[in-house]
Parts: sequence; structure tokens; C-alpha cells
Amino acid sequence: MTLLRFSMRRVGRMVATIVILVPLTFMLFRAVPGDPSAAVVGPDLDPSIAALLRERYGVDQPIGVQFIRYVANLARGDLGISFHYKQSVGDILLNKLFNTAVLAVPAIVLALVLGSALGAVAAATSRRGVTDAVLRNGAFVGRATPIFWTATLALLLFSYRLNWVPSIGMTTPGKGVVNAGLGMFASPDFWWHLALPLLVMTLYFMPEPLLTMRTSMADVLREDFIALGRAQGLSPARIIYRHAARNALLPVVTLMPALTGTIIGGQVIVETIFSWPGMGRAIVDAVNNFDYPMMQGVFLLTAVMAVVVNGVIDVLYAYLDPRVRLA
Amino acid sequence: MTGPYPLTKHRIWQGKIIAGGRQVGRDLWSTPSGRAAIAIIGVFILTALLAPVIAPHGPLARVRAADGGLARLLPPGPAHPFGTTNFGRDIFDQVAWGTRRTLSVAGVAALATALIGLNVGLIAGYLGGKVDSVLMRIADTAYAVPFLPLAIVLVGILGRSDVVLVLAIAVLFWRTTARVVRAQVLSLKERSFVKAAVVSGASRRRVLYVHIAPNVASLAILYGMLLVAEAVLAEAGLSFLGMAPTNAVSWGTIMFDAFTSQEMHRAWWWPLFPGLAIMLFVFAVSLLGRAHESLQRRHLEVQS
Repeated sequence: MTLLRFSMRRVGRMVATIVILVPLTFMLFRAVPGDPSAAVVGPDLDPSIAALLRERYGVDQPIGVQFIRYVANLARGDLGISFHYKQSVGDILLNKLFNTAVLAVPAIVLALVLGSALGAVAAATSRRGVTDAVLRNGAFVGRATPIFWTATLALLLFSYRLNWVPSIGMTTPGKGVVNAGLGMFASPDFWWHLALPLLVMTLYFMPEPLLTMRTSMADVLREDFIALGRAQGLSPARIIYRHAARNALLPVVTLMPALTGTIIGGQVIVETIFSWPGMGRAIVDAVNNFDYPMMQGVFLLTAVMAVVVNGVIDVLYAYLDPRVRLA
Repeated sequence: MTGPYPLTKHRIWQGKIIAGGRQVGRDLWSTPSGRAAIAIIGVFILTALLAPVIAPHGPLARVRAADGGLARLLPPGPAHPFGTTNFGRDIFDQVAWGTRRTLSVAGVAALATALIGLNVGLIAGYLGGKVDSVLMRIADTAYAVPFLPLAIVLVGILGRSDVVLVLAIAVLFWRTTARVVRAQVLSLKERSFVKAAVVSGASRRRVLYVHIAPNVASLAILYGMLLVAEAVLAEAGLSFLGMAPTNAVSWGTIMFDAFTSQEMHRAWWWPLFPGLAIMLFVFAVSLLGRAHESLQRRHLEVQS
């Protein structure tokens, strides 16, 4: 199968998943007890105002019309108006998405790079035992450790006790740093705020790439071309880091789809603990504010992004490893 | 064909589940890490059962110190091995009672999840065709939907209750069990005993639930056990975000209380112990998974 045909099939599956997701989300939010007007202003409401609100949010229409309107709005990128902020959910989320990416992307990259490097070290030293045992068991313990525990303890130690880093937010208010946009990266204040959440998230994501790389590296080291390299007198370090690691990295790429749930969950919790103004905290706040359009918007955006990212990674994997396309 | 003991569905199931459970248990006990895991999990189950005996204060009681005042934010000591909270609650008692709640919510969730996964896998694998592809597409969607946002939204819509916690876990996590069971059923349905049952006129339902299902029981039991750990982490994560019912005490809610108290900076012991419990329990269950993997490898090596 050519890469193009594989990609098209993969995109087809992506679209199918999204086609299931959208009505599912719509139906989920129709299950809300009562109607949204009660959520906005409370149940003891002047009937005429209630009717006005019902009209404004479109809930006076038959359910079919509501669904078509919902899909049409989605197609235009309109996620509705937040009950709590009285602003467009799409606009709010665009800003929050940036804040989330600023934390999540470096954490994922660091975890993949450090995790696979340590996994390679573990596989390369497995004969000698101690290093491998420490890394492997460390990864297993890491996988069992809930992120809200590491985050809480890190906060207690580095922020409250040692006072090395600030405990909340992305920037210190009043320090003249713009709380959005790329100008933020120039400010050391922002980097101090980023340090601790970044550390916690990186440690949280690292066990999976480490364990995967370790297994895959051990497999590659048993292959004939490695024996050939040894016979040619290449140094062990050169064999491991130049020849073996390159081939062993492929399975680490496929990890991403399995990791998205973990990454998003970790992000939600870390943002809550460090008061990071991103999507994760937005969804928790939305529940506490009974802000249904906000909940719906964050949920749909997160799920669709997960689907798209996984699709892209599958295609990337097929490009890197032609054997995948044949399957 | 039936002999002196009629081959009823009930009898086969009972036998297979007990035998399957025993088999899984005996296999796991035969490895050192399996033994360690079973011992640790055993201690947790005992703690859950004996909570009223070993933690007599109860999770919400406000304990008084020797001078008559509330025992507020006391560090771990002989009277309070895990310390106390800002309301004078004994954290050891909270963790012990929390074990009871965490394990029962996670246990029920894991059971429900495993049952859904088992049935989806059986039906998809045996019927094949369109039913199979529709069910597997739904499983794909379940893999794609991130757990925590969905669970938070479910709590937001349906309110905070135990049923919602179980539902949130069961509605997504059946996917792995379903896939594993389906793969097993695909190979089982080609076996001669299944074909014999079909030829002798057994109904589809009978073939599926009397002849095939008992043979995937031990697999479903194993995945059900691993699901308990996932459910513990899920329940704890949700409770930590304040999504548990009010006044419920679980490992996650203790940490939620600590985090929201504004006094955690004066009480490192408060979040420490419930988190340790989660870590130890989940680690023990993952040891079971590793023991199972090494057993499988041993089987493969014996065969080849």
C-alpha cells in the first residue's frame, strides 16, 4: 500500500471517530437536568425572562433543529457563549490552548527524549544489572505514582519549604509581563513559574518511553547487523548509540496514541495544582461554575485534538517504517 | 451426551470461574513478585475489612488532644501514627476508612468494566462481520476519548455520586478487555469443540455463553484484576479534583482536603500518607501484571 493510500484510510478512520464523537457530545449535554436558563440565573426566574433565555440559547427549538444548528455552529468554529464569562467559548479556549501547549509540549518532548535515552542506557547495561534494575524498577514505581501526589509534594518541598520557585500561575501579577503571547518567553519570571510543573509532568510521562525503549533496544541488540558491527570492531558505544538506538526508536513513536489519555489527565491535574490558566483548569472550573457550554467546548476540543494528533502520528510512523503500511 | 450430571450453563460457569480464578491465583503465587503483590493487596483488603477495629475514631471524627483542645495538625506520633488534619481528624483512621471506600468503588467499577469488555469481546469475536466492525469502531472511539475530561463532564452533568464515578470508569475502560477477549474468541471459534456444538444444533447464545465464554473466563479475571488498579487511580484523580460526593472519605478526597485546606504547608504528612497508599496498591497490582507476563514468557519458552 502506498503512503498516500494509507494516509487517506487513516484520515477516513479519524473522520469516522469524530462523526461518532460530535452527536455523542451533543446528546451528553442534552441529558442536563432542567434547562440551561435555570443554570444561568437560578430556578426562581421571571417566566418571560426564562423564555427569552431559552430563545437565546436555542433550547426552545425541536431537538433535531438544535442538533443541526449545533453542527453548523461547530463548522464555523462557534462553540457557544460561556454561561460564566458571558464570552465566546472559542475565544476563551484559544488563549487557554496556548497556555496549555506552553507547558505540555516541552514536557512531552523532554519525557520522550530523556525516557528513551535512559531506556537505551538500561538496555545497554542490562548485563551488569544494577543500573538497569534501578531504572526499570524506578519506571514501574513511577507508573504507579499518581501525579497529584508528586505535584503536591514537589509544591510543598520546592515552593513552600525551600522557596526556590513560585507556587501558582504562569507569571507574577504586576511584574509587567504580558500573560499571553510569545513575549512571555523573554521573561525569566515565566521560566521560574514553568520549572516545577514542567518537572512534575516530565517525570510523570517518562516511564512509558523508558520501558518501551528498553525492550525494543534489547530486541535490536540481538539482531545480526549488531553482531556484524561488533565483528567489524566498532566501539560498543558507537554500536549502541549510533546503530541500535536509531532502529529501536520506532516503537517509542507509536507510544503517543496510548499516552494521550495519560498526558491530558496529567495536564488537567497539574494545571489545577499550580493554578496554570490552561484548558485543564478550565474544565474543572466549568464544572464548579455549572458552565455547560464551557464544559462542552473543552471536552470536544480535547477529544478532537487527541484523535487528530493520533492520526498524524500513525501516518508519521508509516512514513518512518514502511512495514506498517503493508499491515 | 448429557450424562448423569446435566451440563447446565450455571454448573459450567460456576466450575470454570472457580477453576479459572484458582488457576490465575496459583500461577501468580508461584513467582516471587506475584507472592509479594498478593501479600500487599491482602494487607489492603484486611485494612478495608477491619477499618472499624483498627481505626476506631472513624474518618470524620474530630479528635481531642490531652489538654482537651482539638488535636489540630499534629505531626505523626504514637497517638496518631499518620498525624492529624486541621479539623483534628486522625489521618491514619481516614486512610484506613478510605481504603474501604477506594477499594469498593474501584472493585465495583472494575467488575462492571470487565463484564462489559467480556461481553463486547465475545459478541464481536463470535458474530464477526458488521457487528464486529461496528463494535470495534466504538472501541476505537473509547480509546480516543481522554478519560479525565469525559469523567469530569459526566460529574458536571449528572452530579457527584458513586454511581457516576463507576459509570465514568466503566464507560471507557472496557476497551482493552474487549479487544483481548475478541482475539481469544476468534481463535476459539475455529476449535473442534465449538464446531461440534454448532453442528449438534446448539443455539448461538448457548455456543457463546456455555462453550466459548468459560474458556475466556480466566483471561477476563486477570484483566479485571489489572483494571482495579486503573480504577483506583481514576477514582483518586477524580476525588482529588473534588468530583467525589461530599463527606465521602477516600485516598483521593483526603488529598483534596489537604490541598484545599490552605494549611497544607504546615502539614507535610497530610498528603503524604494517602498518596503512599495509592502508590503501594497500584504498584502491587502492576507486579501481578508483570508476574503474569513472565509466566507467559515461560510458557512460550517451554513450547518452543
